[in-house]
Amino acid sequence: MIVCAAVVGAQNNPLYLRTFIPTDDEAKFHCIVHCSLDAVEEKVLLRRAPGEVPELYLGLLYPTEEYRVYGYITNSHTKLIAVLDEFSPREDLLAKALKAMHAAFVDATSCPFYSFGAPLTSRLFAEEVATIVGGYSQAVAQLQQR
Amino acid sequence: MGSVTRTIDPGISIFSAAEIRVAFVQIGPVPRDVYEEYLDAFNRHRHVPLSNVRELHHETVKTPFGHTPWKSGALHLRFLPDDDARRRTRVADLHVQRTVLAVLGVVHCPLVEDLAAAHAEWGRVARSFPDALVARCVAFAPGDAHLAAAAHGMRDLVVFPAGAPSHLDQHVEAFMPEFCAALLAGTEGWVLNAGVASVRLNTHVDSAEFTGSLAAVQEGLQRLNTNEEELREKKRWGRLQKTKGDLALISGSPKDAADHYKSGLELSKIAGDTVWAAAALEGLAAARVADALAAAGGGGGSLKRSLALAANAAAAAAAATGAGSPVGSGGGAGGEAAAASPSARPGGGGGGDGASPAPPASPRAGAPPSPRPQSSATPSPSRSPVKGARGGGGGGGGGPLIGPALWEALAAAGVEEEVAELLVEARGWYRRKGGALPLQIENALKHARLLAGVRGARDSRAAGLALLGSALELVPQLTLLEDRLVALVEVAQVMGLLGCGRKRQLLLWAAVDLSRAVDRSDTLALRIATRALEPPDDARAQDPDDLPRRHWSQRRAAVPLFDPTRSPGAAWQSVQLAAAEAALAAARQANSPIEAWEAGALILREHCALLHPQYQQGLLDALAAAAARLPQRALLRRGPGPGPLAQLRRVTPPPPWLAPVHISAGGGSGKQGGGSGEGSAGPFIFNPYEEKRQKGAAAAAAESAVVEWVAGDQCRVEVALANPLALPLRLDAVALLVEHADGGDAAAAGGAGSGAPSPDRPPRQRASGEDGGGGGGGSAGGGGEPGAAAAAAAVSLSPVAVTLPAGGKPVRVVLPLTPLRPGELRITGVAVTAWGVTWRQPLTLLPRLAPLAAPGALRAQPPQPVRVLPRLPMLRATLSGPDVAVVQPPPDSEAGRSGGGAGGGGAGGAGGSAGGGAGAGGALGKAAAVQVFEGQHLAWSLALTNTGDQPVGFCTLAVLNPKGAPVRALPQGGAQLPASFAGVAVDAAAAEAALRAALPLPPRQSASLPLALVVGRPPADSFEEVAVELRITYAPLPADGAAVADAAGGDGAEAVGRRLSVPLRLVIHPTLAVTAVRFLALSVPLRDGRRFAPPGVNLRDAGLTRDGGLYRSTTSGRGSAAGGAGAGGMVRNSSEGALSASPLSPSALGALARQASLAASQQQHQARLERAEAQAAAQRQLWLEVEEQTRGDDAAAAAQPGAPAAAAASGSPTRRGQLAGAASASGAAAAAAGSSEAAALGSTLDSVVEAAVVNRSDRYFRTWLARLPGRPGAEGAESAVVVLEPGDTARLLAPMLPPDTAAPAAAAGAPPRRPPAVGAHGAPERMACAERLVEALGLRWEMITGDVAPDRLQRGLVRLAPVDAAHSLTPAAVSALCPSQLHVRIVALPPPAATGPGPELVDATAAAQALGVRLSGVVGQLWAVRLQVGQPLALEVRLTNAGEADEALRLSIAVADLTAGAGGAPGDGGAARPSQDTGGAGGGAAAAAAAAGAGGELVAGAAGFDGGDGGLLLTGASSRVPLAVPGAGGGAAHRLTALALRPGLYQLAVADVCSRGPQGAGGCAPLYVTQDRLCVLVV
Repeated sequence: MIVCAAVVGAQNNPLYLRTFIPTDDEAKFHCIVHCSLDAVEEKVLLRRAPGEVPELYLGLLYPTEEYRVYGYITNSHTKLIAVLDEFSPREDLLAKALKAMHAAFVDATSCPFYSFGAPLTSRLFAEEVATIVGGYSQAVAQLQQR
Repeated sequence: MGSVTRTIDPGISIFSAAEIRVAFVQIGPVPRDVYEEYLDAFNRHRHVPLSNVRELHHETVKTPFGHTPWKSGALHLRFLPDDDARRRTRVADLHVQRTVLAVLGVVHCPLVEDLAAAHAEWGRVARSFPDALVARCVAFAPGDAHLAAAAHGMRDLVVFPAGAPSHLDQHVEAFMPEFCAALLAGTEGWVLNAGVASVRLNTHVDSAEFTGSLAAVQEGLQRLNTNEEELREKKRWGRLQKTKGDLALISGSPKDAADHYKSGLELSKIAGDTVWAAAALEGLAAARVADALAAAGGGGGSLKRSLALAANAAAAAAAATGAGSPVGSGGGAGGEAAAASPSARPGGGGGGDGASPAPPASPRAGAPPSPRPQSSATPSPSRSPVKGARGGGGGGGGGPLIGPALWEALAAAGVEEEVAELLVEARGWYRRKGGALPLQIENALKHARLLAGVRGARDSRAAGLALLGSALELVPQLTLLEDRLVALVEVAQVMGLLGCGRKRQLLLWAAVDLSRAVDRSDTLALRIATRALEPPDDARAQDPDDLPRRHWSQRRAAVPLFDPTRSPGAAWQSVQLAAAEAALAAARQANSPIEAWEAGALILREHCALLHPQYQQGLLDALAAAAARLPQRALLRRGPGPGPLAQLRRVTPPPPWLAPVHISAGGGSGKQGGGSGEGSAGPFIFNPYEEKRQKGAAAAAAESAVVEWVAGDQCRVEVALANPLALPLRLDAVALLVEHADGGDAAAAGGAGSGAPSPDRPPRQRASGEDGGGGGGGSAGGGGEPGAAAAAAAVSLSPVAVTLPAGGKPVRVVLPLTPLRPGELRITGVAVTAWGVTWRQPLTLLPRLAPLAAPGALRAQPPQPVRVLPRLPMLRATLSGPDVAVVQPPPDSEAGRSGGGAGGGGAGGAGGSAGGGAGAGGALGKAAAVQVFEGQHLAWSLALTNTGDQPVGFCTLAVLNPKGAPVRALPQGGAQLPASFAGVAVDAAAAEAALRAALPLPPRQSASLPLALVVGRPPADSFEEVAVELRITYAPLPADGAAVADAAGGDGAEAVGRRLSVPLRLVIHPTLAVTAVRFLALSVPLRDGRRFAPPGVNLRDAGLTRDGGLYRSTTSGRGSAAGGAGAGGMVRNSSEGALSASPLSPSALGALARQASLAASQQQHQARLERAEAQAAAQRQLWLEVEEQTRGDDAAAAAQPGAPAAAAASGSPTRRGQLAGAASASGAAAAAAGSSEAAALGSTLDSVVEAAVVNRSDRYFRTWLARLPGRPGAEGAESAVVVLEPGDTARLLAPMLPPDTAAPAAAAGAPPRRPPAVGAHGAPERMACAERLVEALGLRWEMITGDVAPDRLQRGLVRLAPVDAAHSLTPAAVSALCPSQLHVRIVALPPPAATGPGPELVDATAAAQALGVRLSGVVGQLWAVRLQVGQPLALEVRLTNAGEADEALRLSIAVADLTAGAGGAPGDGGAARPSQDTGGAGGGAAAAAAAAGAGGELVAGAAGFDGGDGGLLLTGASSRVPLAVPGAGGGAAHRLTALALRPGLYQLAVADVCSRGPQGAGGCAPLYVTQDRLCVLVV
């Protein structure tokens, strides 16, 4: 399941981070998401061929001992990071979830009262992300039940 | 020796195989910082070229290394601190070079009394390293006792004499070749003596624990297939060859090593000894690299090239960081903290006790362990990047390559691919064994480091990350926690090399957690946590021992805050904050106050915006607690502290009198004078856009110009301090942080010289054992102290205390400092002291609008360069005089010039400092106001005192106006300023002469300069104020003894001096004004050509005062004073023909004196004559001091052929005569004339100047007309002395004597006046005559100011306006001013004897008035020859020619009846009548126009002027009488007779005169002739 979801700005500045498991060490997830930026750079900046249309879903960025980090990058270089406690059994589900998160992010930033580059404090966005995470968990659970 | 602790070595690289490990152990007490200093000195020489070793290498037996590159090879040493040296690796049998092969014992003699005991202890320590080939005991800084003890021949004792750090460096440089030669001999002997029997086959590498079960299975299968004994033998031989290869490699012979490795590789492959085969492959790769480096490093230029590349890299890093620090490029494992970390490179310092659960020191080692864990040492700021990068540079000509040069050489050699293949193959052999995980990880780390170094971080990132990823997967499989920890940290470090700073941080985060399981004391966790706070290393400078040591806080501070491009991940503050908090927690648990201080300061400095105020308060309390526990030497921190943010606002310019100026040729200011001479680029003369552009360019140039200070002067710098915390911050001392070009900085000076709470730096010896903490150590490294001392000797600082409010509002603080010696300074920040700790805050550009915590809001401010000039003298000017007393610079400003005093106090605070700055600038533009009066002459004295300590060798004085132009100087040679001159004129010539005589002016000496000023009219456009600046520009004596003039006035030469300005504000008060000038005629009787001088009354006593006199001055009052010139009607411009006032009173003949009242109105144009009391008027006397005419009347008469003997005998010596015009009663004229004796009678007219003066001031003045130049007092008055009340008007009369005779200046040697310009016919121009008059006559005044000594009276001179004088100039005045060469005088001759009564010369004034004759412009009596009707009168016309040429004249004598025109306008004369010509009354000047033939000018206003009037008949030739007048003083005479026919008043004059040309050639040319007319009164 997704234990942490984060949105990182184009300047690698944190816009949103939320954990979905009870933890008292949120800084650890900050470090994990922060570290994933290096992997994003490796995948996007270093390995992209000239003229290649990049895939927004980056897949597995890197694994840690406990977690697996997946990424998604928008055309404006905003990164959506999902930290999973296991390898995703169906990456298409995860890609779909991240894409939905992307849509929610676009909706949140379309708010005229939102200052671009500022942390996302929208309650609607948080609820949307929680819904997406919950939907992914249910889909994975259903998949595993089969 | 300690037990085996680890398998993986920190800092392992492809070069590690070629390094000789040397234990650097301390013997006896050695302070930690001193130990670091010694270690740093040895690290700077850890690469020793073989060329230096060869001379000392004694080849007792044939060397086993036949391919040693003696010219290009090198030995590479790795000095291990004792903690690390005592740690043994588990793979010592596999890699011989990982054992300690040499021991250096360090004895710090100042703390060791018994050198012999120390030597014995060293012996015990050396024996604890059984594998050591060489051991030496090095004693530093010995005393006499130590030297005496060393003389007894202690074995392997090396004594380094005490001296400067440079001396230590030289000693180490000289010691290293000998040491290496011994090492080389040891390795050679080992190789020669090594045998296969000593090779072990049951090492740790052969154990199942290391190789794993799969390897055991494979070995068993192989054993079944082959002969076991044969395999063992091959293994032994293979391992022996591998060991020999290792020894050959560390001995600097890579080719021999390669040979051995290849042999060993083959044998190991055959024997199935896979680990040794892989090790041989790795050794082969290392040998290949070493061979390539040896090939590239040959030649003398290699070291220089490597140094240059290292310097470039450091400079690029400094530019990237923007702080001028090479830290950004910092390679290696990062400073001393890295040395203390278990993850550090082998020589960088051991992990200390933290890396091993075993005790750090073996009891049998004898040497006590370090009392505290490895402390952090701060690098020397004086060590330049080049020097730092040179750390490993060996001496001698061809040194090994280090830093970027090393990697470039490898890339150029093209060995990367070959080496990579060998490493990959080796990794494959490791994998064959199935185990050997640590070796696989080491292999991957080596490979990744090689890729990063050769290809660079970006290009090697993908491949490197793949290697590291594989290595990272193996880490959890390591059996030893220590190996896991080291591997984790090493992978993290290499990831940092590849540019993955975030991954590095995450791995270090994980390592911190792991370290707590390894070391319960949390020291290890602290070291890794602080490592996580450092920026990543540079891929091109990986070796930390080749870099200067820096504390992690300094390395982190060198990276700009919140700049993601420079510090990846820095923008994610929560992550950084978490790392910093982890470090702080670890420091607290490890009981390290230094690291706790640094971590707490880091949190407050970078992340205060995220912290709650209570948390901030807690951090401040933690800082205070840590500061209280800091050791004495650690109180001076080299890095930044918790704040505040400091921005250099401006370097406060010194006061004008202290500012240095560049004096170019001619004494002008080279820097301040230029810039405005560019012409306009457009068609217009003035282009406002161009002007604006030039101003902007000038302002930009002024801003970019390097500030210049003078050594010994106190300077001020304005700094803005901002406290971003939510709590107020009290700073005990804030001082500037200044770096000197000689090295070092003045941070220590700031604390030391201030008396501030910051402690003085204790002596180096005191640091022993006081550096506490788990890894800190803020003391200066190697060259730091001398650098700081140099800076301290260059600058004296005066700290101030300040309390900064919360919220980030900048507070302006003025920080004073005094540069002490010339050179280049750089202001890099401020040194702040609080809680007893002094730290350094770099300069930061504070945002104007954004909050301080906004990302990207803060940027580093470049250091401010300042040029310090040599000491300069200091002059103090004292301007004193009766009216002024000015001292410049002000006496209170002298305190600001400290003269190099060590800024005491420092308790000024912000307000105090600001006040000081205001005080310094307060004197700017404040000019002393001096009250002066128009026309005043001032005599001041300017005293220049040299108050400095340098002699003044060059000095100029200039008097300037506010626009910078020189003030008009007084004319030289007695010339006068024009009457219209406004402002002030200064005579500085005498001052300059006195100044030149006084130079050079030594210290504490004075020179007094006279200064004369003349005050002109108040300027109409500046509110009667005139600003004058006395600018004194001076410079010291040239240091090289050159001529002073060359220093400042030579061609292109430029000297540095100072400029002292004495500003003055002169408030000019108006005094007197001459509203009108008129010329009057005074009839003077002549007898035999001599002036008749009756006993008279002094004209001055007659007093043309306002209460009486010939002309009564009408008091027009204050209100009408201004209009008195014209509206009063008394004085009117004669040019208007409106001199309506008759000067003569119409009193009865001889009855009363005249007292003219000129209270005429302008409308009536009529003078109202008043009759004064007879008695009083009778006493009116006119005194007129006249100069007897120099025309030599009598002499001319004597020279005239046929002249009367009496006339000839009378002579006429030039003398002054006095004429007393006694206003006698009727009939008194006869007595006055005294004509009873037979004599030639006549009269002449003198010209009198009448000046109307008005007092425009509100003061009382005493005034008179006086000759110029002359005595300023009233003694030389030419007129009456009158006293004028405010607003009063007076008329002053003064005789107008010929200037040639009257001017005493001519006798005083003054240059002669220029002759007046002449117009047509030789007649002088009126303007020229007027100018001559005003040069000789002026209005002097004295102010009546009560009881004042005569010498202190305020006196002045008001000039007459030549234009006004020229307007009213009469022919008589012209004649008086410019006598002609030809003069005609008509005299009445006495009748022949006994023929009857002779003519009498009488006062005909009353008669003329009775007859209604208006005699305008005549003053005094009118003298005339009295005849009876029917009485004949013998006349003689006498001519004198003072010219050079003879003249042939033709003249006509005419008679004018003066009463003829009286009937037309009896009484008043009529303004319309041309009676204003005083010549009509028989004046002196006759400008004859012969062609006109008329005597209009002569008798204008007189009717019937022809050869004979009806009342007076001329007999004899009177018309066109030819006369020849010889030149050169010759004369001629013509006689005729007049017969009186009718009573009346007549005048005889030359009516026409013309020149007939030479010898009477004919024609008639006009001539300029003056004449004395004769009046005849027929009764």
